[in-house]
Amino acid sequence: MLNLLNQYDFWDTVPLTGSATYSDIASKVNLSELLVRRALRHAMTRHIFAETTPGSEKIVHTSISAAPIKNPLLCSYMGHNLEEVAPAALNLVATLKRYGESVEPTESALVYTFLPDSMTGKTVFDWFEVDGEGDRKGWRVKRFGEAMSYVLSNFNPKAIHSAFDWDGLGDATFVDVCSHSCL
Amino acid sequence: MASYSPSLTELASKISAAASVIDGYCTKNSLPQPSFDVNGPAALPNDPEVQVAKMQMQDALTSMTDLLLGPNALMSALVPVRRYTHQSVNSES
Repeated sequence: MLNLLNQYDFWDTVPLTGSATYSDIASKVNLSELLVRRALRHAMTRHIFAETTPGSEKIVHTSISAAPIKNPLLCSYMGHNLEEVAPAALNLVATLKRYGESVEPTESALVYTFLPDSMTGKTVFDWFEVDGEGDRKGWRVKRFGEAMSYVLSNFNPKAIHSAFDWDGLGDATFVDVCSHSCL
Repeated sequence: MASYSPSLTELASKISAAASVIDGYCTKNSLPQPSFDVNGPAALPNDPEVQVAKMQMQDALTSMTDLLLGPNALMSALVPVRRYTHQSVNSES
């Protein structure tokens, strides 16, 4: 549901002040009113969009559905996770069966899921850089960067500093591998 | 133009009331309470009184979760591969 709303950019089809009808939204996202109605009614169960009163047919934003408009980086974060990471997550077991317990970035679930045979031995970042035609080439690496910017915009490094007894480690080297070993 | 938004305490009251209905039904009928114990019951009693309370409670719990997480963390939580995120260490920014 979130993937549909994000890929078809439902976010901008409803004004932040005022309302829209299902028909207004359907014409903007170029999908049938029936599908739009079903998708939005589902989304409303998690407070993503709402009707002014149930049955009013006037759709308004909630704080939740307004979030991607207030911070467009959130769209990139959702896109990266829903379109790239989620399908790869479903292939974790298949990847384990093919590559064993490998930690090589060329043998990850994302590589297994997306890289064409012609890119054997490459990492997912190599694919991010070359996927897309013409002006679109490299759009995935741009989106990945925006997704990471979104994470950083919500991240308070002070919390890491204060949440662990770092001094207790003595003279140690701390290596931040983030989640890159699984990409 | 805004839609209706429940408060945390309003939701907490609904959850508490529904829990009392389920608890009371099990007690009155000498049935085991829902439990994580290895011998706990496999499902709630299939009685309309209990099932209605369960659905009301789940609705309120979902709204409570969505309100507590707030827009940014909820959007992250709804992304299926990010059940727990940086949001858990996000206290100020």
